[in-house]
Amino acid sequence: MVAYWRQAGLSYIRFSQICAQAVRAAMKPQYKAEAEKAALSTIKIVKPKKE
Amino acid sequence: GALWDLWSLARSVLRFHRALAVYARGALWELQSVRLPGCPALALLPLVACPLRARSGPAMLPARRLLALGPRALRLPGLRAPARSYAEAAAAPTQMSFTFASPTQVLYNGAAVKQVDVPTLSGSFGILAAHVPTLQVLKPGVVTVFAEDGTATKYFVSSGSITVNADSSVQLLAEEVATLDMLDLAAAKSNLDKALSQLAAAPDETAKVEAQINVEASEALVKALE
Repeated sequence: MVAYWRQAGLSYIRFSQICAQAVRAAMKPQYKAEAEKAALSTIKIVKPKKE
Repeated sequence: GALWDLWSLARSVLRFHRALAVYARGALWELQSVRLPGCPALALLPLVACPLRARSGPAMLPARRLLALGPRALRLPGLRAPARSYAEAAAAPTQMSFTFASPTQVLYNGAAVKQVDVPTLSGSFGILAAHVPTLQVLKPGVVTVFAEDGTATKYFVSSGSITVNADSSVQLLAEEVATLDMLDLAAAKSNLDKALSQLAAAPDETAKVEAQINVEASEALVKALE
């Protein structure tokens, strides 16, 4: 009953990310750009500056 | 001395008997008010058991006979067993209140729809009003919404969750939603081939599983678009 990705140690969040990437990759170009932008906006990566 | 001890013993015995009589009187009162099924004879017990003790009232049963009545008869006043009853009938099916949203857009907000078909990790099923409450997790697939007039609208959903509440409200939260005309079949097919080759070339377990997820999502896309 356990999903194969769960057994391999992946979380549902990761599963969801990969599925969303797959869907975005299959979108038509005019929709793909804004979908990618929207998806990126949920995460902001800030690299700490070395002082 | 010894005589005093005997007297105090007799007094305590008498006190015990009096207490038992009071208890028995109470218990027999219960007995008279309880109609034991199949034991009509038992109702006559108080009348039969003490014909000669009219002076001391109706309840001077010897202790042994009291206990022989059984646990059911000796129901102490105030300690009633909870009344048994049937479960309440299920509420009449109300309208389904359907909410369908992704992080970027709201497609339905408390809308009244007839049926929603969802693809979940534990199988695809259709949800009508008065569906049993459940929490499910979605897998890549097509969500079909049947409006009140019967028209069906399809959306491809990448993943997410669905909640069916007892009041027939349904919340479908999806990661990525795309109507089928936003998706490109040729791109989906080429992505599927790419994912299959990635699966074959995966170096370790995690990469293999991730590629497998990609393959399944791409397969669902191709299946939905064909």
